[in-house]
Amino acid sequence: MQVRFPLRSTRARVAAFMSLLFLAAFGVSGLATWLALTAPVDESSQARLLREVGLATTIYATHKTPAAVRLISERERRPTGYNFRITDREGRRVAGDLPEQAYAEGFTTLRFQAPATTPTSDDDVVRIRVLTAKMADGALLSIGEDLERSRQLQASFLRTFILTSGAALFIALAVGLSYVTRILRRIEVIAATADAVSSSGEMGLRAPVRPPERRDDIDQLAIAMNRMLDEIQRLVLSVRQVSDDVAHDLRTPLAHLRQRVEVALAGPPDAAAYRMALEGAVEKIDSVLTTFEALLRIGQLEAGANLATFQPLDLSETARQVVEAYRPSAEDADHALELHAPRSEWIAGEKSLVTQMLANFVENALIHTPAGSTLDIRVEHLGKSVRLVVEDDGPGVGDEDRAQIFRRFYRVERSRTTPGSGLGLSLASAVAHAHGAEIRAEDAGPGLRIVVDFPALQAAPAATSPR
Amino acid sequence: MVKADNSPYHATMKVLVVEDDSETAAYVARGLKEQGHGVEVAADGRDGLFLALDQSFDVIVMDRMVPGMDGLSVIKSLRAGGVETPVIFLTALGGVGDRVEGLEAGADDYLVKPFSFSELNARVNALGRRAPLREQPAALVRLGALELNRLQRSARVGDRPLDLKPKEFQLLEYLMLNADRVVTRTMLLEHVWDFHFDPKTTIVETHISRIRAKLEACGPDAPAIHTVRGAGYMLNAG
Repeated sequence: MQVRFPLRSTRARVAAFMSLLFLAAFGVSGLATWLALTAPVDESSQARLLREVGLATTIYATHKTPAAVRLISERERRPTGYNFRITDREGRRVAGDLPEQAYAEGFTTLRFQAPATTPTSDDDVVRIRVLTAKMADGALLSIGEDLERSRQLQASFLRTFILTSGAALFIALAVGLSYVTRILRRIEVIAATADAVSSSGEMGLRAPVRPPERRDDIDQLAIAMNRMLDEIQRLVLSVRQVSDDVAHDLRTPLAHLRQRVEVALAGPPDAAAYRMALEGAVEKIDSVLTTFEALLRIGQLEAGANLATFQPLDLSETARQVVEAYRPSAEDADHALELHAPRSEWIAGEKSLVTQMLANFVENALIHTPAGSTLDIRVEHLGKSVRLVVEDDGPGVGDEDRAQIFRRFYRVERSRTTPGSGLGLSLASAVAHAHGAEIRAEDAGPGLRIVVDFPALQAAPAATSPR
Repeated sequence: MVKADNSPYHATMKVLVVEDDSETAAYVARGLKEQGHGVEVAADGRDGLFLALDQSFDVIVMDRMVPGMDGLSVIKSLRAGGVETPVIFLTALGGVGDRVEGLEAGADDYLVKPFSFSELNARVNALGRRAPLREQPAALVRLGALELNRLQRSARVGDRPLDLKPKEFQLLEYLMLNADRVVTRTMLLEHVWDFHFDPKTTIVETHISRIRAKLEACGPDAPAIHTVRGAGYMLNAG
């Protein structure tokens, strides 16, 4: 799969980055510990030598020589060897285990091959720091400090340090990589879902999401992608539906048109008959064009192409104009039109579109309700919205049909024979949505109630110029 | 379906058609020539602008989508150049915002394609300089025995007052301003009701028949609203 390589490389990058980070951190802390560890050892060995030499000098000065030698020997003899030496003015050893050598006053460092008997260290070189002081009688007092001990300490520190950092690095890498791998694997699953949808067109696939109490960022990503897939699926289905409906609903009038022309051509050449056929053809073509016009408008509205021309609009006044326009036709058809819009209610809108929406509601009711029906139109303020209600007392629409009433070309079964394109309410719904309004159809028991909630314009325009 | 306009005020006009679709251009030009008008056709926006600035036309029919320079820009340039020739703006099917844009650019009327020639012809005539009553700035408009008081929004035939509802008054006023010329149903819907769509119900027909009934009740010397088949309505002095 395409996504695998970059994800692998993400893993390698994370590993390299983590290793570098760990090494740098360990390096810095190791160096600090090293310095903290070695400097005091060095310093304290000097301090000890100075202290011991000072003490021994005092002992030597305050005691007779043999007693002093005994006391010093007792004090300085330690199992490690190379501890002290007292040399008389002729350079002969009086006491002590430091090797034979010409000792000068002050600090010196002895370095020699260790005799095989002393098990001091792995290697055979012995390093001893010696502080020598001259006594009052000319004897030399030397006290030694085996540097090998601190070196051993440092070596063991280094060994331990490298071992523990190595172990820590290993554990961190193992834990970190397995964690990263788990995350990447989940991302891979999401990517694979997206891939499967785009390659197979299987719109129903969704990325897995964990239960709500365990959700993290990755789940949010999955949820966002699933939402996107939902929307895409909805759009694709609606496009498919529309193209099917367009094909189906336009085929019928075009077939009729063809039949008419064919019949006219088959008959005897007669100008009057031809004229009638052509007039009928123009009528059919006009009805097809009207359907196209409505479809294109709906499409444009759904694409949000018209929002720029919105202006403050008094919905009550617009409703009044539409009702006045239709009242004579309604009266002729024995329908009552009633309007309850007592106050100006301002929305942001495009007048011609809102007018068409209202007109479509009124026409829909006039066409689909029997003579004697009443159509009641109300405009009212409802919190932050302006509500338009169009309610008739006709036979109403069943629950199942009502859910579909705003779909393009949807026609309730019993009105298949009445005139209309099945687009009037779809267009009205598209107009409502383009205005940010919520539209729904309800059962008015009996009759149909259409409710449109527009967002109210907060501040009514101060100066208006109604046409 | 080209229908003769039997108007007694039938005068020839000079019309510029800016349209790149040769079939539509030929259809419009042929129809207008049959009406006795002189027609120039430009297939390019720039050519159209040049012609409109160079010669004087009575009406310009301007398609929105033309090569070279789009219709909106041509209209804006014309208006900027002080040319006040009436323009009919042709827009595509379904163009929801086109009408507003066209009118804002300075067009005087708009028509959605495809249109019938009778519709275009009626609008060309309405915009042309032949309008006899349109020029009257007067509050009183007369046609035969019919008199409209545009300030008081009242009407009478001879001595008999004519009781009209507001929309009926507006409709009759529009017919009178365009007397002896065909006014289409769409023109009435746009000018009287501000409806820019095609209603399925008989709004116009119902209002016309009510006005007719009221006019007829005033006697034989009242003007009559004639139905021009396949085109629209025409008000003639009685």
